[in-house]
Amino acid sequence: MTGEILDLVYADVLDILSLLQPVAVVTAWLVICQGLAQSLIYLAQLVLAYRALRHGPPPRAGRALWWDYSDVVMPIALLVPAYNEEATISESIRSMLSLEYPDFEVIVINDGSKDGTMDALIAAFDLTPMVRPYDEAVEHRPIQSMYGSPRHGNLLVIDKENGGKSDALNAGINVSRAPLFCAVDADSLLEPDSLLRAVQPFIDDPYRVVAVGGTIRVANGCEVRNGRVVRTGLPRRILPLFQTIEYLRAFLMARLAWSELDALTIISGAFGIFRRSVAVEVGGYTHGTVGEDLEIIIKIHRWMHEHGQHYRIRFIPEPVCWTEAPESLRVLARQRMRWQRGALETLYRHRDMILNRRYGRVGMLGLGNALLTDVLGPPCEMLGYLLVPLFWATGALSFEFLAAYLALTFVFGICISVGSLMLEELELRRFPRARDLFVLTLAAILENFGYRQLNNIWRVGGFIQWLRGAKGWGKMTRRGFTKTELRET
Amino acid sequence: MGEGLLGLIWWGSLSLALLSVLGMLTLVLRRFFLTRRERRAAAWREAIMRGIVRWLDGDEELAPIERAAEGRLEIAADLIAELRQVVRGEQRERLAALAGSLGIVEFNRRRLITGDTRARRLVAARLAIGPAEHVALALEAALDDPDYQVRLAAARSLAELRAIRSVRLLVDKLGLAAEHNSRVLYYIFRQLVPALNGQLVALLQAERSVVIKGLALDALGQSGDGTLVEPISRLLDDLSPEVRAKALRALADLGYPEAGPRALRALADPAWWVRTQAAVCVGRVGFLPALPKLAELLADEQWWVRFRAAEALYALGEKGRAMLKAAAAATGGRAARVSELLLAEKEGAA
Repeated sequence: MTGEILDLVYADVLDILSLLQPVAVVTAWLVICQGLAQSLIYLAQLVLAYRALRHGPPPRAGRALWWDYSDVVMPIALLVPAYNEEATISESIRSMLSLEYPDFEVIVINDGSKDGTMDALIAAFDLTPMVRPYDEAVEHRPIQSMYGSPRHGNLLVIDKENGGKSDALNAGINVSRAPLFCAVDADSLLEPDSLLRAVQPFIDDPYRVVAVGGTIRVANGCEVRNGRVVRTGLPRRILPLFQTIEYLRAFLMARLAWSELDALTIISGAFGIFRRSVAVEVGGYTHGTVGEDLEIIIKIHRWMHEHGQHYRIRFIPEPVCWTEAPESLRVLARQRMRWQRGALETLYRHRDMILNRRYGRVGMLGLGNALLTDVLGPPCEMLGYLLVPLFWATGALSFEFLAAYLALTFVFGICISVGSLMLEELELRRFPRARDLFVLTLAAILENFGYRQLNNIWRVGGFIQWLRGAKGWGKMTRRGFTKTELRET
Repeated sequence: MGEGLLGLIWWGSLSLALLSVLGMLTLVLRRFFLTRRERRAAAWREAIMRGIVRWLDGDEELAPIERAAEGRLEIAADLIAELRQVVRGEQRERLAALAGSLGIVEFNRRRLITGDTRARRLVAARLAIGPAEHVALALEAALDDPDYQVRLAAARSLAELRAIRSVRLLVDKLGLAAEHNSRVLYYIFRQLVPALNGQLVALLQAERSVVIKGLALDALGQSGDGTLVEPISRLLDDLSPEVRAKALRALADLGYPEAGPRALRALADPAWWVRTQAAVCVGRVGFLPALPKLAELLADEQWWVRFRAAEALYALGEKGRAMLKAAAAATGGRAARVSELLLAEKEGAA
């Protein structure tokens, strides 16, 4: 009797499996094709980035840049939005004031901080109230007062009602008078020659270049003194170490490649130089988005294309800015979900540009890639994690499918991550010791086994948050750079 | 077909991953050797540097530097190019003489022909060490280089050596009428005044390119030569508003009051950026008859025109400031706002 029942069950399972098989094969091909397309794009990026590095100007010392360009640079306003940065703001601003650039001013925008940010600034720089006439060119919450420093003629502090990062940057755009502005985060650690490096595309092509981004690096493990990275090091903890590789891949490979193709769609909010007049034309930063850095670039692309302008948005591979990477899973998850949500918000808002020939390479390549990697990528890969092994275990899929899927999600990534590291070593060599390179190589291999998949889960989380209409930034906890160093012991 | 593709994905990914890891490990090994080589190079560099510093201080003995630089001309050439930026006058001349004696000028000249693109760019800049009579021909030949950055670096070196003979030739060689318009060109053109003022004025009259006219105007504006007011003023009738704006900028930089009447007319230009520059110009040259028109511009629809007009009024002294105060006292409106804010900024009121 039992045997008959088992036979019946077995027969039913076989029936179900025979029905399931076409579904399994279609699903598997879907996720494999998506993964393959993404992988081939990465490979193309790697080749393009290498070509760009080989043909571009060799990395030069800051003093050589000064000698060559100090007579011809354009003035820059450094816009530094600050919200509840009491502990670190004075040191950050002091470091920014000592940047090597012939003509710049620092505009700190205190965005209605609830802590003692404003008091800390007043005390540190002997600020006194002042007035500066400004154009109300883009929208922002009211400015309550402005302060200047008798000791630093190029420091201006704006105290305004809270309105978020975009709102603060808009206030800075209005008050600035320089033709270029550089948006930086208050906790960014800038290279002393960052402005000189990043302004080069504006010098080389002054009529067409409207925005320039630079490479952001992970500062964890580096020696930091007085708001400057004085010695490059590696994080001791695994999460920031993986992020070091991620940043290399994202900046040195992907952004450089898109810049070469004139299809760059993002400049990091931590450091980006913009032509002020163009930012004003597009209405400044958009309020109520967590992806303001992506949003403004897409807006610039849209405006330029719709007004028939010839323009360039450029990326320079040299590191210009260092940032503290999250060290806990909780904070990292929050950050990645927010990034994904920000990307989806912007892509949805500008969905008419995606794969639209009217917007040229940006529409077809840049935003087409965003559709593949930011919109379709996370759910497809997630679907693959769940279904491909299950289908294979139940016999609905052959081993070849499983092997191909595993190759795309685990093995191929090694080539891309290690390839990015090779670019760094061949052209920039910013990691001082051979031992560091060895550790990074190991990290570039290991991050494909677990970390990458975790990241994808967070991105799906961000996708769900976006679908549910979540707003806001969430709390971003940072350890902060200690006064003398960050080297972990 | 399907299975073949799946197999290709698996083996292809695996092979690429392995190759990249092997490649990276090779680079790690290479780094070990490079680090050692760089340490040696740093020591040589220091030795050469010590010799050069002694030479700059008046030591006439060349042998120690020759010994240190033997077989290491690249390091010596790099050091001399760096030092050139920090020494002036007689020391710079001694440095140039040293470069010649060590064979560095010849070394650089050779590399300007045989080097790869990166090397040619570097060497074209290094040759600014001179002396002009030894390097000008090589640099002029480099103006025909296929790489624009090499041509630009060569032009810069020639300009710094005051060895540019024909502005027209420079313009043609650099292909300035096309898309090449680096801001470095402003620097190059500024080196041409006052020696080549005549050629620059001729260029203004003959040239149609806005970019080239802009470069010439900027350079002439730096010359301090009052006789240029008239030829520059003629460009205030140019069809291009960019040229008119640049001409006003040049007149403002020259700072001669003779420019006032022409700039006054430009305060009514249809292009707002021309009106902006006109306001700057009349303020800079101190042209008092412009006061009523500037006061009108306080209500211009463009912020920058209002702001520069307010600045000009303030710069024009008591009468202008009184007009600003009167505008500020009026209730509401653009003129009142910009006047009030500007007075507060200039007079330090919060």
